[in-house]
Amino acid sequence: MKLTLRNKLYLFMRHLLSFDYILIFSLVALFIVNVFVQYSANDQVMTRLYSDVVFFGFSFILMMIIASINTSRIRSMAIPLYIISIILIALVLVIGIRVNGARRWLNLGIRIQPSELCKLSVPLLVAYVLSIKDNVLTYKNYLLGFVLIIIPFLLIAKQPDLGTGILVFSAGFFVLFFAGLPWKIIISSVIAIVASSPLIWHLLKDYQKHRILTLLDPQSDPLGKGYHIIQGIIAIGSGGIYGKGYLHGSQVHLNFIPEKHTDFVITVLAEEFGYIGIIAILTLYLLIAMRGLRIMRLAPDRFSQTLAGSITMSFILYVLINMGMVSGIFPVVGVPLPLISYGGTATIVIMIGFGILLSIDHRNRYKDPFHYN
Amino acid sequence: MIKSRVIAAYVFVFSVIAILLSRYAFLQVFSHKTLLAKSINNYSSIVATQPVRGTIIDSESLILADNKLSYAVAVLPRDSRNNIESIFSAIEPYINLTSLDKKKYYKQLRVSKSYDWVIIKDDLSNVEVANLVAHRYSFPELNIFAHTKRYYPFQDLYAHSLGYVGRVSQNDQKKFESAGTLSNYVANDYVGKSGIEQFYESYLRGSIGKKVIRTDAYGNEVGLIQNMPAKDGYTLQLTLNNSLQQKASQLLGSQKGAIVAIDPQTGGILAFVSKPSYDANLFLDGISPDDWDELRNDPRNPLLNRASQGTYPPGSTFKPFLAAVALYSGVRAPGYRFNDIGYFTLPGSTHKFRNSGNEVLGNIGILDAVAHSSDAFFYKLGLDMGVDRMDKYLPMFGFGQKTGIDLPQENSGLLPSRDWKARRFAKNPYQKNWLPADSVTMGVGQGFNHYTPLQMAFATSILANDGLVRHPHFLAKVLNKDGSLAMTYQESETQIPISKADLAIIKQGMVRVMQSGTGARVGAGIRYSIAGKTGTAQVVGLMQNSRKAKFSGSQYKDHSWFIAFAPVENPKIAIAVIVENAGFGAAVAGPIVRQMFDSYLLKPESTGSESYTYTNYKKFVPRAIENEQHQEDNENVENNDAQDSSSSEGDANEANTTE
Repeated sequence: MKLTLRNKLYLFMRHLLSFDYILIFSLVALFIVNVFVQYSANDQVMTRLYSDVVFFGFSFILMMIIASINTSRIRSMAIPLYIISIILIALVLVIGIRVNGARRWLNLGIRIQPSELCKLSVPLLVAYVLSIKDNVLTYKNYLLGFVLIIIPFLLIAKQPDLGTGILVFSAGFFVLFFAGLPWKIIISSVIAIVASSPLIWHLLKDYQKHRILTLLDPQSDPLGKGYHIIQGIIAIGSGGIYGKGYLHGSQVHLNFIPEKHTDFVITVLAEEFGYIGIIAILTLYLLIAMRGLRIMRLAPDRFSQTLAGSITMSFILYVLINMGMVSGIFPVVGVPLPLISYGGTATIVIMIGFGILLSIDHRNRYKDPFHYN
Repeated sequence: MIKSRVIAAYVFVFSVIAILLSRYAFLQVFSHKTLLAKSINNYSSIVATQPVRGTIIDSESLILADNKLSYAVAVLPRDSRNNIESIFSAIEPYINLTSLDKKKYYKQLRVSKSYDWVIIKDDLSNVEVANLVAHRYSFPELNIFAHTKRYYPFQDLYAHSLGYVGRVSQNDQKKFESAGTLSNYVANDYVGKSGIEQFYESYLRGSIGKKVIRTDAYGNEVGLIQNMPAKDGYTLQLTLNNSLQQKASQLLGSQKGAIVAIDPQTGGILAFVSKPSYDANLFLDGISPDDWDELRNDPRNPLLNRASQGTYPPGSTFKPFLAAVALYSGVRAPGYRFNDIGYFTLPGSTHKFRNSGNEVLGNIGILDAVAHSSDAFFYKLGLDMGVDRMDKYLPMFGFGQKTGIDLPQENSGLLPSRDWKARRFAKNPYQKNWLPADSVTMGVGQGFNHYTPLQMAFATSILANDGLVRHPHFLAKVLNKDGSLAMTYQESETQIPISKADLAIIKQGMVRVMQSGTGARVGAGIRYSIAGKTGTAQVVGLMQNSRKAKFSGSQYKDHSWFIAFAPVENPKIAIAVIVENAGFGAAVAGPIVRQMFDSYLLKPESTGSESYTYTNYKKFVPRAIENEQHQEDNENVENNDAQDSSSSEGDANEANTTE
């Protein structure tokens, strides 16, 4: 069948209109929050803000491109992406750049953090292997999925970067979970992990132990590791309900908050906009998660469902870990706040994830009137 | 899609949001108050701003205790606790750091709080300041700053009256704590340690200012939150007259002794000299051990304030007062006559209490007894008065009493009584009873009684004033910085009960002392009316029936006394002079009195323009109160270098113009 230009234009309009604009506008809203918060966090220095805007624009376009790719094509990239990721994280261990005693970065012309890539490639591959045949899954399938998860997890943990490792593991685990991993396995694993926690404690590095201990009692080391947590909590609490006013956070602007534009960025919002600001941003995150879960529910096949579920759940997990860490309910692990923290790789990975979500959603909405596909 | 997993996903998402909402609510709503307080505490710190200590000026506005600008290099305890030795060695090439400086540093560190700057070396020379500033980058933890400190331009001249200030010690801190003034001082502050500086500390100190500044996480000052400016101390104007004080000091020269001159009509001290003296500036930052040993081990005891704490037997200067109370108590009538045969013997005894120089005065009345200092007359009077009456009436002239002078320490002297002797010699049954002979020797101002030169001058002023008591004091006025009057000294006023007629007899006797009596040579050719009394106080006991001293050598020589006032009809000055181991009163102390009176009474218009041996003094110049703002700028920590040097130059210029 031959399409006229008019038909093509019509199809393109249909294509554009078939995106989940609630999700897209929520992401844009989050980015607007990002601009305001980063402007304050950077003490009103514009240079970093320009690169932030340029970066978001690039990520946004990337997301829209991926959103326009057919999900089946994305599925077919699962194996090569996974292999590339494994090679890169293996390379990190050998030739990675050592920063603060950990090898996490790779210099390939630009500095990249390959473990970030695993946050996408691992769930992608696990979703792929679990959806090769659309039949009932057996323990063998789950075991294969688990092996595919544990390999990159161990490599990343070796860097050492337990935080990212756990996030990669969770991303893969969410796929298994939505694919129907039996509750009894989940529950017995949890029991096993708890039971073996003394052994795990033994295997942890000193700095990791220290972080957990500091969390349990930040005052034990008020000028050392506990300093970040204490100052973060003071910043959040001193903001009160209405906040100290934009650009008027004393904790933030007098340098009491370390890493205020990256991991501790929520303190800027909490101090200057108060609890109202926190409610607003959590509402945005909730809205995004709701759209993500809706996409998951409406997805036509197991690959799309489990992948959409994993991306959404990972997203909300980042929010939990970051905001929980800064407010003192989790240990300090290097997890940025999605789309608010300043940070290249993490933002790209998240936006690619939403690209995949939009692509899955697009297939639901877009009914080709000419049976083009 | 498995339904249970979808539900689980929703449950997870909502739980995450709920957990975070409640955690942030806990922090931002319920813990808001305490955490807000912590955030305020984080960025605000309190800095003390120093008041300028009030100056002390004499009656002609000459500055006796001044403030001068001094440069110091200091460090915060938190930056120096572990590596002070390396800081010392780092700055040693640039400044002359002695082991004494280091010792002082450690001493001061003990009384310092963590945010007090502890001075490593004060009084830096211009070269040292330049060196330090040039190499400032090598020791960022050090602060080079200018501050005002006490300076006594007349060095040793007023050491015993003004006293001195010194750094706050642990003892001082305890005192402040009980007085509730601890918050008005920081560790490297000065506090009055003796004399007027100590007595009027509350006027001189002023009150410390507080500045609440905004600091960032590294402790850098980024702004001002609140400022309560320091209130400078008051200027004290004293009754002391610098010309007279200087004259007195010159007249005593290198002799040991004391001179106290009082204005009888006001009680104001005109001159207050104790010799030898010491340089009060030595004590400012803790006296060096060498200087201290020298002062303490000096056999001439320069640290003793002879004027108000040294006590001496009054000798014959006691006689006018004893005669006055004898008239008052009726033991002697104004017309009483006495035959002076050159000595006095107690009834039933052969011991002869002899006249000085074995003189025989013949038939005399009270007037001549005073004028010619008849020992025999007063031996008998002492006996007739008896210890009880002397003890009862002599306190009218302040004997045995503190004069109430505005100094932290004062000796009340000793007016003996039966009780006193019983207590004093409680262990010796042969000595504890009062004997008639004790009363006899007391009659001529010997024996147990002894008084301070201040007490003698005070007693003289009461006599001069016809019985009107003006307690001696240094303070005349309390002035604001702009020279306006804040307070005036309130003089007390009482009248002793001795009649003016009785006092007139005594005064007449003292006038005759200067005309034809023992002080005739002193009074020769005088151009104003003068009343006086010579005195010679024995240092050691006398040999039987003789006035020859048991011991020879200058330290056993008699003390030379002289008391006087003038003009008699309208007394403007009353004086007591003692020169230790100088012999007869008329010979040594008398000429001093004459010269003092001549300079004070014959040159009433003296303005302090005559040349002194001291330099660097200047006159008090009232200043309009406009300095608060200027001071604030001074303390800006951030721009310490630039501001300190610029503002200090300004201060130095100001100081120079008045010199």
